[in-house]
Amino acid sequence: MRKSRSLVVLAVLLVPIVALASFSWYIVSRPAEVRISVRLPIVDLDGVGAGTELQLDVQNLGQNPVELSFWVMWFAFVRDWEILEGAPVLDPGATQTYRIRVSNIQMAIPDGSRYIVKAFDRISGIYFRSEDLRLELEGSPPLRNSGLWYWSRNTQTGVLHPFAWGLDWAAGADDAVDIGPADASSGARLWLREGGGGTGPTLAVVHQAINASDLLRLRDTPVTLCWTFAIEYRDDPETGYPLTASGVQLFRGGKLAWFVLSRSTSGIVDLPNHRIFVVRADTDRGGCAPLPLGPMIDFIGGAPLEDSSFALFAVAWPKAPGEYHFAATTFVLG
Amino acid sequence: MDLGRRLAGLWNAAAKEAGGPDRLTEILSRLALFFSGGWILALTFFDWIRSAFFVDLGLTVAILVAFALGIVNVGTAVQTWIPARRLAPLVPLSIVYFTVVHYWLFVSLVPFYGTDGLAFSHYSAILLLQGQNPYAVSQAPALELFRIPEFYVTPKETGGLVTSQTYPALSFLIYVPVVAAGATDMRIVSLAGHGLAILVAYRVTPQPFKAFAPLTLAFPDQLDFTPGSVQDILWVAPLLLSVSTLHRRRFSGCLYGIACSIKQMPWLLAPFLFVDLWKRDGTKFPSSAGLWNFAAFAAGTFLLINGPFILWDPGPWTAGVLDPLFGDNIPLGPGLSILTQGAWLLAPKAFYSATMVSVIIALLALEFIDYPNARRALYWFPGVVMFFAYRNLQNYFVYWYPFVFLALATWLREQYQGSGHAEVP
Repeated sequence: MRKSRSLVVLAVLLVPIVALASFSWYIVSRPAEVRISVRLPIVDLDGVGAGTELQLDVQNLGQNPVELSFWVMWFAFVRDWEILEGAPVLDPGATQTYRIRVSNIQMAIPDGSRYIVKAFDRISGIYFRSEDLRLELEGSPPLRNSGLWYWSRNTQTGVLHPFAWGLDWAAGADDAVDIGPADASSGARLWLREGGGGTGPTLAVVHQAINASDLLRLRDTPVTLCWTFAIEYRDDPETGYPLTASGVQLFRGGKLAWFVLSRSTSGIVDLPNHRIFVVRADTDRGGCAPLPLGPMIDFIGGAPLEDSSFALFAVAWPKAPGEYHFAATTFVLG
Repeated sequence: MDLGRRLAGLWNAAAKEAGGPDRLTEILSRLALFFSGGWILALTFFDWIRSAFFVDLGLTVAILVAFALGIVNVGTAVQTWIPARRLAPLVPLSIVYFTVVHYWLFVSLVPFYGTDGLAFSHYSAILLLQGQNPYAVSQAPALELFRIPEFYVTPKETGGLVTSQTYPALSFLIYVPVVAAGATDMRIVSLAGHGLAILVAYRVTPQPFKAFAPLTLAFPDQLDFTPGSVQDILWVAPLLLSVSTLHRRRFSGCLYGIACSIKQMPWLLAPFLFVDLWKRDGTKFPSSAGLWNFAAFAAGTFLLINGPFILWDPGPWTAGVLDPLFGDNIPLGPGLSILTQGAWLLAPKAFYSATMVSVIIALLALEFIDYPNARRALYWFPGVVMFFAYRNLQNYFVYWYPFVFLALATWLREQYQGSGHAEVP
């Protein structure tokens, strides 16, 4: 009796196993009906240091038309990419070139990542895959996303930031900081309220790590900072240390170089491990000024393989309480 | 001799060797104290590393107390002054405490919702307070309102994102009083649910395994899911109470209706629970009053909670709550569909649906044919089924642990009490 019950149990369990195995065998042994090839090289069209656009050659080898959407997978969470060129429906035997673009910048393929492109056929409900590839991006500028475009939320912190840039800030109990896009979707606006208490400065920073080879490239690349309004550089007459400033900061190996704007003065201020390049400019109005990157990079020096930090910054010390705005619209490269 | 009988024999021998059931409870309580203490010490260590405790005195004290509790639990496992079974309540209390500390740290590091589901439920509560039907209004504004990162939305295979309320009504009704009271972070409700579930698991799990029950809700993924905005912990306590009170069918049915009104996962238990109750009642056909009392009270409670929304606008409610089953969401998770996520297997969603249905039928047949043995595995059947689903997110599996453990503890308890003495979950 017990033996026959065991056999029944076994038979019951075998039904889904056999069904699963036979169906799996059927679908595995079918030839792939859609062949996807990614055209190389992949160029950093947006200058953000990540793959945002791909060109694909897609062939329908099956007997039926397919209606395709494309999904680029470089980690478990995946989103469909927008088709810029190419009709979604592909007839049997037809080949077509597609240009696809990431639908959200956070899903762009990081340089160096392994990835596949999947085509989902809405008619059959089947995903097809390309061969697996590693992104070797070409044409990336030394400064990524120099226009400070693509503001989106960091997945770890929820903070809104321009893609490829990080945010940092410091504020005391009576101070405040706000960082956001300068206009609807680009540039950066740094706002500070220095309450006058404490000893440390109120600071807002939009920064990007730059590796040693890109820093060398940056040295030879003319870079212009454009702003709509800036914080006047002021220093303490007694100590010579800054009270308020905004501009660009380069940091490496414990050395800091600043590029700041002033209505009244220009020149170079040397402090311990800190050099300030002051440029005369109207901080109440918009303007542009080339960055003295050669002298700034020469000053910070550092080990050849060490990363450096390139940042927009705004700062005010307690001796200069008040509200301050710095809005940088873009960095122009070349 | 089948495996069940062999295990029963082994168990009886172990109980006898240990000196009887009480002695076994003492031994297992000590083991639970030891493992819970070590577990808390390990997890507190990792929380200490990633926390900025040095800028928050409250968090500093909280971490210190958690670590001290770990020290105490390990110590009580080897002390001889007080019987360990009297100290066993330290296990649930310390696990609840650590859950709170972990939540606190996590929320301070990640001050936003990590799932679109909780954003939609919070937004639905706001909509309801404004007199709008959450099932009939787009939830898209919730993604921006609650700053949901792009990684944590639910894309559809047909394009776009899920932007509708897709859970039963209690998933957001539970937040209505909290929102009305002015709270802004609904994760605190999940924390309360998690604490309650741990205490209930401890309460309903029989000796000698009782002290281990809290650990079934203290795995790292479960601890992260509560502050990480996964809502499933909310159905655990009512369902645990339901399955541990099956001798009171009306009460138990109401609790099952409540669990089913929070998320769809407890629905998966329904066919297996139906056969279980039928077999328990020993009738030839499913005709016992107890079975239908359970079904009627479960359905009645579900309709009491969801009925107003069904009457309000039946279309959006139906489309919403059936979306996880029939919607065109992309495949996700480490189950069988991983083969399709990588497009290794050219299988459409229908393949997974057919497999799921055949597995459900096979498991039901198994339960029906060999009930005395299969009933022990009843609470893991949903996990087995979801392995074959198109989406197999981690939360579809981990919240069944306390139920499986309850079944295991009850089974083993029956072995030395004699069949039929203990309440079968």
